[in-house]
Amino acid sequence: MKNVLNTFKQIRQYLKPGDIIIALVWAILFFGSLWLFRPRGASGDTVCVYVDGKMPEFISLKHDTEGVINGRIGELHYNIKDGELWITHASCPQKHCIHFGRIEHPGEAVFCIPNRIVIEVVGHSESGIDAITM
Amino acid sequence: MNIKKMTMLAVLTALASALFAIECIIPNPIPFVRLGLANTLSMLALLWWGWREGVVVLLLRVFIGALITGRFMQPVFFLSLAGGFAAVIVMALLTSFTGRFFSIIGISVLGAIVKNGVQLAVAGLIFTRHSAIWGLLPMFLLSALISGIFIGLIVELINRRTVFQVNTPMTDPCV
Repeated sequence: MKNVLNTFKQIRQYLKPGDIIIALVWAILFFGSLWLFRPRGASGDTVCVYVDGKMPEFISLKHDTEGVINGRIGELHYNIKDGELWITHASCPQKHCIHFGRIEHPGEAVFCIPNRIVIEVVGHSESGIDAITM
Repeated sequence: MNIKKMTMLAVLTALASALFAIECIIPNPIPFVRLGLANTLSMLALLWWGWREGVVVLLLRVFIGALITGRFMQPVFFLSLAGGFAAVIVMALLTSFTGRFFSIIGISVLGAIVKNGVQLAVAGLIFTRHSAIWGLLPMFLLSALISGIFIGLIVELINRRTVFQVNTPMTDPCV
């Protein structure tokens, strides 16, 4: 316990006054983005699939299914169960999208950057038309 | 460029590439997040000589690391190129303009924030072309804080105990 305290004291001695500004910048960005991207409302009932920035495709979360999405370099296999979607197989080398876990709230999304695929949960299929595409 | 500096740059680049390759082999359960130990070496080059040397070590590490891990010309390669470059430039601006006002740990944290922010921006604007990727920002900022403090601490300790005599405004006079 005393060791841990001493370590923190030593770290503090390396810091300079200007670091407060950097800590403030971090805190503003962190809590601001947490607030901005907070999960809104209950579970969504539709996912929006964007491939390569083209027109989105809609998949309902109400029915338990499995499916395949074709991306730029290969396929992405997904599973839908109890209103949650997750990726089971990916053709990319890093497999970040599989480790990403399940999505169910509107605004949550899974990405596959090598395949240029974005899967985003939306509240209702109509509201997906207003989704912002960059 | 004298021989000592050239050798040191080569050693830093080699160490950075090796660390990058090792870090890519170790599997991590958290998606998109890495500690980025290789950045300690480009930060050391930046502190010891200046922004040019920092950029040199970073660019060589990104290219060699991508060739080792087989990610050359893949999206990940461009992400680390853009993020790393922006981070080195911002860290260099802080060290040269404000001198001793910011600590190495603070500069490293800001560099990590910039790196993660630029990576998200490049990924969102070029690769997925969708704004939902900004939802990852809180997680990226948290990882930037942790890895920034860790890397800054390592650089601080190396910088204090260095046996290499290099003229720099940041290093304490060493034995």
